[in-house]
Amino acid sequence: MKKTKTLSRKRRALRRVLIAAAALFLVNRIFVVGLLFPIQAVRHNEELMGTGRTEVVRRDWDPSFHWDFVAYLTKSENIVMLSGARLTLYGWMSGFGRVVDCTEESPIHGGTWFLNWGARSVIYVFGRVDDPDITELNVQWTIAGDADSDMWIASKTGEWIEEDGRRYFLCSYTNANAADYRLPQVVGRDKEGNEIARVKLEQGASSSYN
Amino acid sequence: MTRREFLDQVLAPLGRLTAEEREAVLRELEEHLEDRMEPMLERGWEAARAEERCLEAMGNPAEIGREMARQYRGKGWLWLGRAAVVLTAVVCIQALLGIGLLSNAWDSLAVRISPPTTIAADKLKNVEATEDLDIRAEVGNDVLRIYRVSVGEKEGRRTAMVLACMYDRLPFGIVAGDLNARSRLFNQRGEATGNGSGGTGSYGAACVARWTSVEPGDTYVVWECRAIGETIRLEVPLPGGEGTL
Repeated sequence: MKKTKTLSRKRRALRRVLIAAAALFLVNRIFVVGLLFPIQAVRHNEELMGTGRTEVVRRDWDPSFHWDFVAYLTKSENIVMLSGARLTLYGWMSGFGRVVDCTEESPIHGGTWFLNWGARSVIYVFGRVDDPDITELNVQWTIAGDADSDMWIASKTGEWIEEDGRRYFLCSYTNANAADYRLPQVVGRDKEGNEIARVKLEQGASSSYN
Repeated sequence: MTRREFLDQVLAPLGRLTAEEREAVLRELEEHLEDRMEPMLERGWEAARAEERCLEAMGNPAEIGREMARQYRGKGWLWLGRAAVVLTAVVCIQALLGIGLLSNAWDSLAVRISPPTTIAADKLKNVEATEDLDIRAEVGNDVLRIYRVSVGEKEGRRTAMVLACMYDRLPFGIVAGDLNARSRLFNQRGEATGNGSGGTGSYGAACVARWTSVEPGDTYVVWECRAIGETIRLEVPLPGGEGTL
């Protein structure tokens, strides 16, 4: 007679954990789904955007706006990336994003990212400030339909994020119509309020979700 | 003592077993008993007598129960095992739902073995020469591979068309997107005259075609691929040998 040996709870649990881990690994690698944590989706974003490994500077989760979306501001020596992770039936998935190349010298490196969920939207402005004299930033837009109308969104040093001696910024405003916001610029000012840098931001990266 | 009484006494100190665990314990004990009884029955023992002797030989049932109870201690392991089963089930469902995503894995493998040669095939007329190549360069975590060059005619001009693909260094890995926008093809005079390109792409691989005008006597074109913090330039020899075009 074939003998069956009962497994202890510990051995049975460990065997099941091993099977789950193997299944998870295979599905992660082959199907590119089944991510358990949003940070894994950020790793996918890095691959998709060819940035190499980045470190998280700030995590922006606003459940009142969209509970299943987390934005990550990440950085490396050469880039600043704002990307997203979405919770779906497939687990956490890449929510795409925007990369700002910081390899060329500039007092401010910045970019914008528009996100759209049907009628709801969010506009992010993010980047890195390399000029130590800049103590205040203003984000400026031209509103569509009125060339003289500028909208100013202020971001002061207190709201900045300091990491490894570098300063990063991230501003967001929700339910703004992306089509109306044009020609974004970031203006850097010193302590006395003098303008010492003005950088035009590239516009265009936008992502739409259902 | 009957078999039933024996098994009940073994199970008594085992506390709260799950139905599955209880079943496994009973099965093991039954099999153990049957194993002991089998040679006795072959020697002509009566079944009831053989069972009684075997149950006596197995020892004190309460002691066996206490021994087995050690294997079934700890609710934590029970819940961990259950969580692992749930996770496995969820992952399998996700794999089934995402069966279409297998194309990414397929692309990642296929492009390493046999990259597509039909990309933008209709763009080049009167093809003079075609040559398969294998020029590779690492771009970040990815590999850029130039695999075919053709010379023919496009819009009335002699044109070189180069096919390239990109894939992650690891099989099934994700490739950086936008190869099309990041790539340009220059002729020997540094002109990038081709303003169009065709291509395919997925998470697994990207393939694009770029072209530029060439003159008789040209021996190479240059594929340029921009990446963050670096620009890769690869010299692509034109088909037909050195300086023969």
